[in-house]
Amino acid sequence: MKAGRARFAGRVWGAALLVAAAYAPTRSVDAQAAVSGEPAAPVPSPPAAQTPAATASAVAAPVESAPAGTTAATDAPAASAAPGAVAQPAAAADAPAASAEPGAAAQAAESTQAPASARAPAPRARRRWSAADVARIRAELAAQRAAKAAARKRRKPRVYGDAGAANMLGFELLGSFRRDVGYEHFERGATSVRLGVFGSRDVLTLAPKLIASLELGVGFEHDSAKRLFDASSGAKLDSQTLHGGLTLRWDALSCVSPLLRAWGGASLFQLTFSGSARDFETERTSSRFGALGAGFLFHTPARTFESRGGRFSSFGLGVLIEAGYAWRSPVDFEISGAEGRAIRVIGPSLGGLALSGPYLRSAFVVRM
Amino acid sequence: MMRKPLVSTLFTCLLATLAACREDDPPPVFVELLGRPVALDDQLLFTDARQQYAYLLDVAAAEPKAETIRIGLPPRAVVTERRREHDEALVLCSGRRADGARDAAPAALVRITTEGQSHVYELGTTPFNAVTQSEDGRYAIVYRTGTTDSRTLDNPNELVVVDLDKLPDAAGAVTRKTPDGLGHTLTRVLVSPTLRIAEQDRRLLVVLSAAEVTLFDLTHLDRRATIVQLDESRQIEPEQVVWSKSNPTLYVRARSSDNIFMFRFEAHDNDALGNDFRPTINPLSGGDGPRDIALFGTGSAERLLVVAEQSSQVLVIDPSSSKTTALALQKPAQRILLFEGVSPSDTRVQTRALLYSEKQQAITFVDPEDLSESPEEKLETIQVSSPVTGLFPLLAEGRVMLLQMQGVTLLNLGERTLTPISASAVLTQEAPLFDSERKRLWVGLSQQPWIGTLDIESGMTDEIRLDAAVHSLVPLLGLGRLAVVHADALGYVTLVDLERPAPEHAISVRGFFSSNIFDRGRR
Repeated sequence: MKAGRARFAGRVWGAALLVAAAYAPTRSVDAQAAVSGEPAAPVPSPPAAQTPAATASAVAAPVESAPAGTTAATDAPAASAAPGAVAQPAAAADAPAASAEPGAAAQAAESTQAPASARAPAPRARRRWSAADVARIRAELAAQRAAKAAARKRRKPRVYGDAGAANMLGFELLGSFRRDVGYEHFERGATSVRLGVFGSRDVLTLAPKLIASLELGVGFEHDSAKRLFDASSGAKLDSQTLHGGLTLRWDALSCVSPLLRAWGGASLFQLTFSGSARDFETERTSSRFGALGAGFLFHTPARTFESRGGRFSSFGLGVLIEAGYAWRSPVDFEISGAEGRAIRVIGPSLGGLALSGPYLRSAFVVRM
Repeated sequence: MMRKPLVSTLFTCLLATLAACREDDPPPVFVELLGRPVALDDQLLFTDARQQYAYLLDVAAAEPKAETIRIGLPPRAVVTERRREHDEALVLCSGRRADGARDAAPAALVRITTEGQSHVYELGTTPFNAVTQSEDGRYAIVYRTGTTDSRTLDNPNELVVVDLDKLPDAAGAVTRKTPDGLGHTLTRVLVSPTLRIAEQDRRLLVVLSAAEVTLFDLTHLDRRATIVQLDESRQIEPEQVVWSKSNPTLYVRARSSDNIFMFRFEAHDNDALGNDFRPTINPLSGGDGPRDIALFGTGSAERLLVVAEQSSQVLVIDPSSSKTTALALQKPAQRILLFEGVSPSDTRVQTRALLYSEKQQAITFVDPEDLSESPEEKLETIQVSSPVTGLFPLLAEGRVMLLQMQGVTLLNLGERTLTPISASAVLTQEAPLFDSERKRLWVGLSQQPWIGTLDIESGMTDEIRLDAAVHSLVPLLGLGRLAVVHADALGYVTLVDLERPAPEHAISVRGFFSSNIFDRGRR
């Protein structure tokens, strides 16, 4: 911001100086006219070497454009002040010639050495601007403009990046609706909630706004039963799921994309007992599944976070809502006897849990 | 601007759906066993005393599956037992009164087959709590003992006869009977063996009450009961009935009477609603305070043996002539155990009796046959080391195990020798199990993880340590196994190989009450 302000201030100052430079001869003449009481008349500017004071007051000072003025300023303190500010005091000090006449610098220097009361209005010198002066000034102004334009060209131009967000990373909450009676033993009852993370990548553009993407993700699910067998025996049901999927996404609007997803994978289930049944053990059991779902991806429009340099052009945030149905193979839990017993123990089969059912998936996604 | 409300609404709907789908906790599986399980030929039937289920566990396989057939029961199971002469089980449920939350449920007798099928015989609203069966298992008599305040009004003498050979909805399967004119509350119900009465084979239903014996003809349940009043002036509390094996005769002993009442039956002309027979009662003198009776001999040689505690006598009565022979005992006796065998002084195999009394250290052998000849030689008294609390007969082996306050004693009936065996706790009558094929006695003490064995012939003892405390022992002799039931809410049975009684040859089945728990309720 500071740099911007500085640039802006520089531009303003530059514009002001250009304007001032463009109108400087006229204004000098006007000033002299006002002092002298004569009507102003356009006159050509004198050569800089001969009119150092004029250089200081009118050109306003590109230093390089008034090399002769340096000497003049040394000899004339009034002319060594800020450009523009010098001319007026000089005029106020009744030394207009110091800024108007060629070769008036010596006179002005002399006059400053005289007592103020002894100063008399100096004879008004007639300005003489040659065509060479005008040409030189114009050349200098053109050079200044060219330098500024070159400076502008040196700054980095705005760049537009690729807004196509091919990659997506999501954190999902998948609620499955379980219709199996076996789940009535668990805390969550007829629903299960799986937390997961997934990543997807666009792999094919089927139509201008129809994208196919592949997805891979993992999920974790936990449920518990405080009284599976009796009041003092409980169980925990944990599962880990790995899934892959193919998604068809239609970027219909800038912020909404309907999608269809076919996905599948496998889950590993483990039942752990506690309380009076804590020495029971179950082997891990797996379940495969396939699912179809449809939903919407609500996301930030393209280039929302794009920088001037084109970075983050594809970065976006979104929320995914999807509903569907999953077909899962049921899982059966066999209890094995506890280890370390003298007599071998045969455990029961607890039966199966049917896992098929509708699901609702919501996810927070980051596109990039 | 619409995006945020839409997303939040969807999430709210999701969470609300998840919350709304939560179910109440299902009832737990916890099983409270009703007594010891019933042993069928290849299965064990466990009855849950708290919840309305029975579980059938198949233990025939070398490695049985820990799976049960769960069978629904009416409320409040109170009795479970095997149906006699059948590979089926009976469960008596006393039903439930209606309350604010639940409807009334009638009492019911459930017959459970080995396939897990249940046949429910509804018995009415009376909370029955006892059942007795005929010898062939065809009839089950359901009645109520003790007082109850679980109904506003109920008849304590109501009983139900269930013909188990009929299906529940068949005519005559369930017959409710109440003895008209019975002045006292029944105390016990028995079913006689088949008796030839009035030229017809019959089985009698005998109901004992404080002063009466009531007889029903099970063949003609539509007829009235025959009530026999044993004493007009007082309540004599009949408590024991003995059936003659050769005559249509029965003998009744009462707690408060010195008489033994002999019932004989003869034909009787009666109306259509009355029995076509009638009993004749012959009181026999049973000494002073008869405490046990037994019949020995056959046909006309049948005799009644009686021990009279207060007079410290043993009596042999000829029922046909009422002739009585009495012998004085050194120590009074309360119980009779008849056996066939020899004695040290007599190698003839004949009926002999062992007389004993609880809390006495003296046991007496008596040879009741020809008691009148040299009566002193017919008695032999033996002192044991500690008072006897019970007796476990091993008659086929010619032995008896005396259960004592301290340990047990193996008594050889023929040689009349004693083999004392120490035990870590007092054994009850139900504790020992005998494997007659292998001549081995098994004992399991409750709350201890050991089961002990005693080789009857050698007197050698051994024990096996199990992985859990013993609840009860159930013989599965047909399978060559002993089922040791452990007190485990999820179900825990150890099957011990009777041929190779060692832990490495045993196998445990655990958790079978919870088998298929996730599948329950699935249609």
